[in-house]
Amino acid sequence: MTHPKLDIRSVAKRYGEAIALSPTSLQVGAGEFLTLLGPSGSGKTTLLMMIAGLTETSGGEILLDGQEITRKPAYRREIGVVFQNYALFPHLSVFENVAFPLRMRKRSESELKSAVGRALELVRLGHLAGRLPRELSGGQQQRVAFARAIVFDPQLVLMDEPLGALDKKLRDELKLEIRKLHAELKKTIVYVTHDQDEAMLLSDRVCLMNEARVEQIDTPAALYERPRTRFAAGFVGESNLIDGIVAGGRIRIGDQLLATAHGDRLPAEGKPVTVLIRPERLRFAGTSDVAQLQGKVVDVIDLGAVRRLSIAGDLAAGLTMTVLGGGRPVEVGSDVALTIAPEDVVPLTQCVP
Amino acid sequence: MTHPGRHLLLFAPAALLLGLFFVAPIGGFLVQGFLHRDGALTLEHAGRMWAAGTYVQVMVTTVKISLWVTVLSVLVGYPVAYVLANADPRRKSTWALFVLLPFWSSFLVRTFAWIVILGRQGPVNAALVSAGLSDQPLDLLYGWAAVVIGMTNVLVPFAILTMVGVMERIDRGLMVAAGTLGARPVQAFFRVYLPLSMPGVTASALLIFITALGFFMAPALLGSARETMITQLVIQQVMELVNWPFAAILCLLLLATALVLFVLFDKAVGLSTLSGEAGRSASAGSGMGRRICGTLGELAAWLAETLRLSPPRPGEGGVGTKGLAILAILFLIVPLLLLLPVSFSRQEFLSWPPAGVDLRWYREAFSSPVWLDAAGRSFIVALLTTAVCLVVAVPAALAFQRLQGGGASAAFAAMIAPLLVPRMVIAVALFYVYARLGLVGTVAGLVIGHAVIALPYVFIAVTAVLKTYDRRLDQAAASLGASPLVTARRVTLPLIAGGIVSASLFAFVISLDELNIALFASGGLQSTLPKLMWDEATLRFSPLLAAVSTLVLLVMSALVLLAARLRPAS
Ligand SMILES: Nc1ncnc2c1ncn2[C@@H]1O[C@H](COP(=O)(O)OP(=O)(O)O)[C@@H](O)[C@H]1O
Ligand SMILES: [Mg+2]
Repeated sequence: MTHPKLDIRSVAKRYGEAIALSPTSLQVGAGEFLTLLGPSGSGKTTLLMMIAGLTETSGGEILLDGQEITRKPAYRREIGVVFQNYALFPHLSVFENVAFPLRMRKRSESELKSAVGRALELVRLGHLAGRLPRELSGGQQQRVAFARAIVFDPQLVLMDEPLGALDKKLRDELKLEIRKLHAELKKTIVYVTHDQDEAMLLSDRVCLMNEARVEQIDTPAALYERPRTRFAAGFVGESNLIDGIVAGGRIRIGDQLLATAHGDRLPAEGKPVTVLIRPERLRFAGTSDVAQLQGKVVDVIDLGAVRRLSIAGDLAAGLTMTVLGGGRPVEVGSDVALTIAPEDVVPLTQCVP
Repeated sequence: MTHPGRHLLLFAPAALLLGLFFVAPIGGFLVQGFLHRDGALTLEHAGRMWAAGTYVQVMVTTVKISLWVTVLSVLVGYPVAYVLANADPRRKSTWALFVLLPFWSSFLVRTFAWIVILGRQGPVNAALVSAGLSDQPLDLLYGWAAVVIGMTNVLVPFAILTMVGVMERIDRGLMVAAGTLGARPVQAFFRVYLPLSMPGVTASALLIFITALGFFMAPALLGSARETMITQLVIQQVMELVNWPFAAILCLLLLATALVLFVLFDKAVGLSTLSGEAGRSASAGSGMGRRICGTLGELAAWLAETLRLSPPRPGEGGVGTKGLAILAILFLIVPLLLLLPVSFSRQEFLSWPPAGVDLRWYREAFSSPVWLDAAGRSFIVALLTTAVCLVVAVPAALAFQRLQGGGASAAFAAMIAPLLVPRMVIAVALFYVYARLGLVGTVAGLVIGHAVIALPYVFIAVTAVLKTYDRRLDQAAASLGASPLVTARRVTLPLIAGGIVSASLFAFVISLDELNIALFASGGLQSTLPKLMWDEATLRFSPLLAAVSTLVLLVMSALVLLAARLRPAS
């Protein structure tokens, strides 16, 4: 393989003065599942629509399989799109909806029948081929939309919050189904969501977006373990962010020194730095541990599976700590000693406190 | 808290008006068609009419002309409706204005305009002769084409407004989706948009056809004897021959045609489309229809490719569509503008280009007791009509709002029934009872007739206003300590007042332009403005009439603009 499936080079979008997407570059490999994750208004849809050819770019170029497609109209791009509201044609049956892209490509009737049949089987809707879209449940409509987007064997499939309109239970179910379908079909997929769970579960890589630009691109695990910015640390999972000063390969916070296993991420000696400590990585110090942090429990929230403690201590602001639920209850007001492993103290690299 | 009976009481004024002056007269009049002189039932009138042959011939002509007008109106209206439905909000209001102004401008005046345009001394002939395309002026007027063009011109705005309602409900995202699935814009249009807009097309075709069946102004003023339509025969039977049974049978024929069409339409698409709701089933999208649309789509796509037309962006109209829409709008507006120079003419007769600029015809109109008298009467009648409509429609709309299911549909159907019956039938039937009640030639008779005709429009407008009103505001006011009366005065009324005034302006405009009722009920003496204009025009169209028409247009446009401004955004 010489080039990525999708190559986005400095693509940008402006609406008058307003910037919907700053110049953005991004590559997606063949068969990869890439998720655009970010809060509402961060430019995810804008980027996706430019890839699909439904929004004009204000700059940059888009390559598909090494071919420039920046100015190609949508109907010649061979890119399947699943829209958030599905955009199923209300006057056509499920079968005809799925057959639509094949009819546009003038496939023979027999070829068309078998391809539509296969696509509908794939999403387990073969028995509903004769129904009209409005006679289907939301989840079924979503699956028809997916079948329609892949039936013509597109180079690339784009999905814009495809589960956004469904309730939580159905969303969880369909998430797993999309994961399975991706594993089976090995299609290149660019997926948009604002739901971090969806992104973590589905993606090979996550492209985290914020304020019209890319914040970080990484595997889900790397994004969680080693976020680079304050925003990334806060958007994916829960976080404690603590400001300190680099001192001899460690971080000085007040009169405490915190060791980190990520020395390569530290700025120069004496510079300020922000470190991330995930709440579930904090532990009560045992008798054999060196207690690094002292504090007092000021609030306890029992969530069943886990228990969330707010701890006020010598680390300036309060800390959040999560421990497994059950067992011995934790009293508000009790003094605690905490410890944290050096590999769980993660300095942010693009952040000046 | 509220008893259902109280709601029904609110319908009482409407029931009274429609019962006494719509249902009863029409029933009493129509039954004449089957009554012998001694009161026994008979088919002899119908038999004699059938034998005469000419009546059947006129019915056939009427249907033929109406069909042509229907097809043309839908074709001309479609691009405008498309652009209007898909324009961004700011441009949309401009487009809407260009449709609403002709929609509300006088039928009579617009028919007059074609007398000027197509006349031997008109601009079309002048252009043809000066361009050397013809040695002498052609007889464009008084023929089949003139009638069809004149009627189409009047009815296109109806077609547009009916189609827009359906088109606005089509999800624009579908066209975008079609694009990502490989459909060229033209293909997407024919495969997706057109089938989805079909309920609007059929609904407007139905309305246009039924309205066209009842036309008499255009065939009388623009056509020859060969283009005689059925309503003209009705007038003749009543006014000249005083043959009530024949008039009744002709009206029945008209009504029966309309009714059959309604039933067929309801079976196929569902009547709810008429009020702008999406059809029950998008039947046009299945089987034959879809295949035809699909083939057309591929053909058009191929043509566009071959001609290297740049594809419009999905959802919006391309240059071609906008061009067609602008042409259609010009077709609606320009005839009216041509009246202006004629009204400033110094000559006694029509000629193109008009000679000189002079206000003599305006002076004449303003100094003529006959015209001033008719204008004064028209204004009084319009004012009273508006008052009656409000008194009847507002309570009915309030009650309607609280009805649900079958009751609501029945009430709605009853309230808009006068809209579905040709005005001529209402007018003749009222004349039939007015003669017995001594209401012929009275202002009261005119007001009642106009109120029956305007009531559906006012009811629909008031209902729409109430729909935009959030009833929780009343509840909020109550919870804050306001009594029902105070709530009505300080919260409800201030919020809906604009909409109500707007609705009443429409009643005023309808009354101001109403000719059918006055044709019979004015008794020749108590003439209204449209009646006087009609009488003058059937003799000769003069620059004086152009001047009066211009004034009427100005007043009506001002009222409509005011009404549009007062209407709540929805
Ligand atoms: N057609 C448009 N005109 C003007 N601004 C737009 C338009 N579409 C999107 N935007 C702006 O661009 C930004 C990014 O929008 P979008 O890509 O839809 O965000 P997301 O999908 O991440 O929620 C937003 O601030 C939005 O208001
Ligand atoms: Mg979005």
